[in-house]
Amino acid sequence: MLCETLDQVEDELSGLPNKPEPSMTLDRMFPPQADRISTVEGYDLKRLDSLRHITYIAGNGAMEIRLKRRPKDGSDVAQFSKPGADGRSISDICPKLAAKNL
Amino acid sequence: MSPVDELKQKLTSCFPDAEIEMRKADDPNGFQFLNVYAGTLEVAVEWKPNMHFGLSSFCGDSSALDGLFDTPSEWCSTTEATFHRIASLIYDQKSTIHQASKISEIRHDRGMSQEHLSEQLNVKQATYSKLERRGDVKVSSLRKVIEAMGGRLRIQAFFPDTQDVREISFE
Repeated sequence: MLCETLDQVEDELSGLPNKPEPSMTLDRMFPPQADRISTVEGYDLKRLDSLRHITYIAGNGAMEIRLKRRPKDGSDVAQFSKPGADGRSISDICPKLAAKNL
Repeated sequence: MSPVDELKQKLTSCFPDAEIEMRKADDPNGFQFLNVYAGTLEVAVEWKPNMHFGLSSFCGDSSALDGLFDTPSEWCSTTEATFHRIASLIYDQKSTIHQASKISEIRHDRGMSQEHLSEQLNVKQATYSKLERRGDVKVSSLRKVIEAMGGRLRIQAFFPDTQDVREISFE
C-alpha cells in the first residue's frame, strides 16, 4: 500500500514517468524497488540495500535505515527508526540486529 | 560466478587487509552489492545483469547520511575497469563524492591518451594539450571533450543557503 500510494502521489505531482533508472537523477521519488530487496531469514523482515545504507522494513510497518557499517565513534548505527502499527520497532522484531546487520 | 563475485575475489587477493562485504538481492536478476572498507575509505559498488558497475567512495570524515539513496558517482563497464578504479581510490584514499576532477585526470582514469582524444576531436594534439592546461574553457568545447571520452556533460549549481542543487541547461 505504501508503494502504491507513493507511486500515485508522484504520478500526480512530479510530472515525470514512473521509470526508475539507476544512472539517472530525477526529481521524483520511487518506492523500494523489488530488485534491491532480500529476505531476512526467520523474521517477517525485508532488507533493502542501497550503496551505503540498509533499510529494514517489517510486516508491521516498522522501518529502520542504517549504515552498512557500524560507525567507529560508537554513534548509533540507525539513522532513522520508526515503530510499526503495533508499537514494535525493528529491534523488537529482530533483536539480533542490535549486534549486527543480517 | 557473477562479475561481483569475481570483483570480490580480485580485491580480496590484492587488498588482504580490507574488509569486504557482499550482498545479493533475492531476485536472481536483481542487484548485487559490494562494500569495501580499506583504511579510512569505504567504496560502495552495485551491479545487476545488463548494467554497468556503479560505485561511490566515502572518506572517513563523511557524514553518516552521505550517499543515502543516491545514484552512484561513477560507472565502469567491465570488472577489470571497476577493479582498477577501486584500487586507485584505495591507494589514494580518495572520495568520489564532491570531488572535482581535472579533464586530464578523467582522461587518465578512462585509459585515454591525448593523442587518441585529439584524433577523436579532429584537432592537433598540441591544441588539445593546451585545452587541458587552460583555466577557462568554453562549455561547448568541454562538452565535445567529454562526449569524445564517451561521457555526457552535466553542469550543476549548488546554493549553500538553501542546499539547492540545480542542473543547468543551455539552449
